[in-house]
Amino acid sequence: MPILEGGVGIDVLVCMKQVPDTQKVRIDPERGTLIRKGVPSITNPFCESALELALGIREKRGGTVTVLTMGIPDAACILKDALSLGADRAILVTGRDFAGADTLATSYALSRAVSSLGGFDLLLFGKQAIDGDTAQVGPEVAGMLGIPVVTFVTDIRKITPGGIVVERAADGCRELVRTRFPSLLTVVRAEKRLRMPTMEGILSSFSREVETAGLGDIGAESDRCGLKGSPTRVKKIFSPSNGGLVNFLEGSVEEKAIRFVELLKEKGFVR
Amino acid sequence: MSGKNDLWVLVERFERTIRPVVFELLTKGKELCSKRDSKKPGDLVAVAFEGVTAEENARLGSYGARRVLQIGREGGNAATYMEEARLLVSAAREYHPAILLAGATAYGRSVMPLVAVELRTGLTADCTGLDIDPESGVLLQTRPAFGGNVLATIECAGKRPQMATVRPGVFKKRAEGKHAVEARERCYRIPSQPLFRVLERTVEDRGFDITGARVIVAGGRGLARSEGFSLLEKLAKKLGGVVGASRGAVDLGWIDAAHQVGQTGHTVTPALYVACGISGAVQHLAGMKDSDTIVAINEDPQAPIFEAAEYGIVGDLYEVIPRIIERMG
Repeated sequence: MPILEGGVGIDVLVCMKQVPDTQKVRIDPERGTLIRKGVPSITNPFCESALELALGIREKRGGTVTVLTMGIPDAACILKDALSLGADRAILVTGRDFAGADTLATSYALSRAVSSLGGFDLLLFGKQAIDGDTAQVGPEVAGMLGIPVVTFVTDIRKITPGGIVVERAADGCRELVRTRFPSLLTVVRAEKRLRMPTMEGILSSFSREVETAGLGDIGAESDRCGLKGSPTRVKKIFSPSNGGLVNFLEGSVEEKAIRFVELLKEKGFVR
Repeated sequence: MSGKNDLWVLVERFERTIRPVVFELLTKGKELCSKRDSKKPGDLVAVAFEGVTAEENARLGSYGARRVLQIGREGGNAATYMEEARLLVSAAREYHPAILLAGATAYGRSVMPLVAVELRTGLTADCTGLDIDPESGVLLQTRPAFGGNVLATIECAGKRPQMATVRPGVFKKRAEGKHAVEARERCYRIPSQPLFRVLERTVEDRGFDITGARVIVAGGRGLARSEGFSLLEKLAKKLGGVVGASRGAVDLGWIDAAHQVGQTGHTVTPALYVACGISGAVQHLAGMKDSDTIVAINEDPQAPIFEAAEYGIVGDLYEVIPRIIERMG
């Protein structure tokens, strides 16, 4: 349970991403391409943990929770969900200029959006998105903004007027880290699941809009956004296949077992 | 001196010991260097922050490093990955490496994005394959995408350095002899104000580590019940190996996540991988397909695991495995 000190409200921004449910993505066996059709879009699960953490901070300390995403117009759905859970403000950065962005261009656009909104104590990101799995956007945004980043945060231990003590789990270590405001945290999937919306929350979200922002609104240079601003390119996409032909061991169960043990002996696993 | 075509490997430590992934990257790096244009030679350089001992220097050399570059902070130590990122940026600005590789550990995935942003270059996360394009000489970086459903090859043709983090355990490491290599030390000035401070640090008991096992006997949902793992344990013991599991079996609570192999678990490359009752979802294959010998035991002859396997046994594992154990004596 986080221990909170002091009395000033904390203004938190949660950066979120809409992703295809990768558990339901299938491959076209003939063409080796992704079948995206019919695959539902969801809020990246790590972003949900970040949002829950942010809502918890506001409950105990006051302040505001703002949610931000970059994506196609449909990505407004995940922000609408966040509003129904009680987020105070929601901003969707969208437009053709942003399409085809790699992590560097994405981080640039998000950092511009954060700067244009201004005034946050904490930025929370999911540690990674389940479609790209890069875990790079959080640290890169912090790098662009020139603020500290604490990665792989599992919990918030304490909030003091000037900063925060968090727990992080990384590479077989647990660390308690103190960082000042403003800081960016990337959040691993917490034990505490994202709350469910209340009827009141859902009703009140109907009257609140997701704000949209384009290139000009966030003061971004188009050359640094989208495909143009992306130093990396996907050269090809292919399905993982070994193409090897399996040798089935034939015969009765007994014979298969005997053949297998012979094989183990041939390869030196059994003497 | 230092050519602008050098390939850098970041030396990462865990509790003062150099992590195995560093040697995996050096082995791969040596191969990549040999594939590059001979008119633009570049050296394989191990870049380290802390004092590299003579013994470590020779070890880095034996895995292919031509030089060890030690970078430090003027008048102090770098206490966090943020400070180390700043030092690495300073060194990269001085020496202009063509390629910069690090392990896709939590550490590598924290320090490398900060470096990439500062140098305004591309970074490819968690690669499982690296190669050099024979025509352009550009680094080809292959990684799983969409939860391991596909592999994508990514390049960063126009910016330097080309940066990638690489999944530990994917590349094999190979040492040749022991020889000390040139060591160079550089110090850089970075802001003195600490960005954040680690108050407390505890190393968790790792207990079980699947990644170094020579033999893995793994089970999936096809075991149908958690007790199936005790049968696999028996076989694994006979083979001097350990038990692995698919995500499905871990999600059902049959076995601890430390045993999980696959996209969201561990990547393993044992000499022998026996997949029992594992259908072979691409997410699982991503974590074990580079094992030397893969044997699959499954009731369904159509199971995708057989496409990755060298040998297959179609049958009820509860009938087959006890007989195998019996035959092994």
